[in-house]
Amino acid sequence: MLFKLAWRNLWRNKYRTMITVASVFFAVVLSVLLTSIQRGAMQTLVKGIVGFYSSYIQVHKKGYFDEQTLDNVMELNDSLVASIRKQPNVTHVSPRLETFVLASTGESTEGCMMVGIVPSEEKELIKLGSKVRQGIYLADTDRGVMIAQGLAQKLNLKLNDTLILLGQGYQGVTAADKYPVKTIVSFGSPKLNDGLLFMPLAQAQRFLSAENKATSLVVAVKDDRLVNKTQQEIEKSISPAYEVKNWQQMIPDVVELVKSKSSSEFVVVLLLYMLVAFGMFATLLMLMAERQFELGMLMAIGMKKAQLARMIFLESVFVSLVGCAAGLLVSITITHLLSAHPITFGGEMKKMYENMGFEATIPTSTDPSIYYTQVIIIAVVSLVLSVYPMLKISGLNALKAMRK
Amino acid sequence: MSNIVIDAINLNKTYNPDTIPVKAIDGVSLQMQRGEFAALVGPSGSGKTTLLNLLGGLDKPDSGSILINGTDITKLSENRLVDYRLHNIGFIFQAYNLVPVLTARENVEFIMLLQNIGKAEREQRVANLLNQVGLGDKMNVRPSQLSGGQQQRVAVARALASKPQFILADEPTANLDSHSASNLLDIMAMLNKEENMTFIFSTHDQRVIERARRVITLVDGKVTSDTGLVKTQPA
Repeated sequence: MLFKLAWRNLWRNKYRTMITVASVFFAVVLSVLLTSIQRGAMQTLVKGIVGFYSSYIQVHKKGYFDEQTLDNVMELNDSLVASIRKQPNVTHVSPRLETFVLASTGESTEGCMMVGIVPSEEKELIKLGSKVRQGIYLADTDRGVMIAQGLAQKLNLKLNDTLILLGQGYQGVTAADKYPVKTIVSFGSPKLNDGLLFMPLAQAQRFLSAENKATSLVVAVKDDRLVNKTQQEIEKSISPAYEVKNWQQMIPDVVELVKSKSSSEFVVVLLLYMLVAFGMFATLLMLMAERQFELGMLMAIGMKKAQLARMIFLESVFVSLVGCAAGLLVSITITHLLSAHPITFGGEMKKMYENMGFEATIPTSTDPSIYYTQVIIIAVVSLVLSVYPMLKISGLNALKAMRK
Repeated sequence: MSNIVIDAINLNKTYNPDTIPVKAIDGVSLQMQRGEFAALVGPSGSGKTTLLNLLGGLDKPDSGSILINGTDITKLSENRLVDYRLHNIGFIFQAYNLVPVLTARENVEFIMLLQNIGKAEREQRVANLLNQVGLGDKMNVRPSQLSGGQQQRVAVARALASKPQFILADEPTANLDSHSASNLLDIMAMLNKEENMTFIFSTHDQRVIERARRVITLVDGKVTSDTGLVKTQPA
């Protein structure tokens, strides 16, 4: 009966109830959309930055991350790669051998990062094949280099030009050789675009006199939300002579960016819900003022204060539930639709995004936590607000209430 | 078992004791027996409603005691008093005060739900009570669709639903036209006669006073006259 009474009480003032329900509804929809778009953008940004180069996890010889020199290379062995590969969330494991070298042609010389890769693996890992602008994508056994577009421009290099590389190899030996430019690749990040050079791993190992050695094993994962767990599992399964780093440890500035965006998202959502909370509180104030007499009468005929409090609480729960359920239904539909068919930019905006290496769309996240967070917030708001009627009811005197 | 339902002893109640004291009840003592049909009368401000509120446990006297079937309700805690009211006292208010969102049936049933009475008994008793007050055909109608007289009859049925020791009615006919008032009094008299239900009214209404079998007059918070229980039932 309390349920029936609470539900029907809501519809005594239809418009007021509808306005309160609508405020909860719009808060949920706006909050979900805002969070979903911001998180989608962040996930895309992280995916983009991580996917451009570092990947989600890397395994090095212990100490390499702090001192990235060829003295800290690791010996490649099949059992190490197999131990990493057997983790359920791991999709690819690929060795890299990287060091700084001088790249020279004609009159120009530039310092750059030379990365020895297994081209067939990196095609999947960082989608290197999609970044090819000119030339062919190198095979694992080809001789030649793939040079980033910005670096090629600085060195005034074209396809099939010869590039001279000079550097220090393993254990201090001099590394010098010349290679044909087979491919020009383009990266969204100017830092990568102006300073990267790829060559097949075997060729890099020969160049640096580091046979069967690598500076890192780059690991790609199926589910990027499980990176930390996968990192721990890899750590457990391999020798402590290696270190396992996740993308957050490798690119901390991106983590800071995500954190600052999350804080601004939190502030906006907080403001939104504060507005709704004030709206709901105003409704409760009116409700308690209007129904003093009735509450007194119900106490007079034998209804306990606890039952009255439960009835009023149920009324605010119903309002929150209806608004929240409707808001979630609409926002889940919208975010899933936007996720399946993202809004695509056109014209200059599209070009700008694509030049940066991002898809020219507004990405949306459909992470379940976005939806249940709203339910938790609304539940907390309802609970906090219900303190007011509880206090009013606890101090209610049937006779005084009926006199008012 | 004693036939005395209410035994009020030397009741005193003063409002605003610290500012402008108003002595609402001044040394009132009275006893009510089962089956009485009594009217509390007196001019406005004489203390009728205050006495009714004290007898109903809605207010507490400054001194004195109210024994209902031997239990001193002035000593009960607030929560126990609510429970006591629920199981022992029926209320009829001047402005009907039905729950507007419940139908006539639900309004009557509500009291029994608070008493945790089973569904079958509730349904049977609701039907009987609404038939007794002549509203068997209005069971599923909300108060807003009933006339004042009909609403007051639902209020009578609601007051009876808890099988109370007695019913307190505060000016029950004040808002009714003469036909509805007479009809309501007939029903209450019938319930008094057939079920030996005790009714205590506060009223100005001459029609009620004429039908009452005991008239207690209050002036300035004091009982100035009491006809005592007239044994004969009204015609």
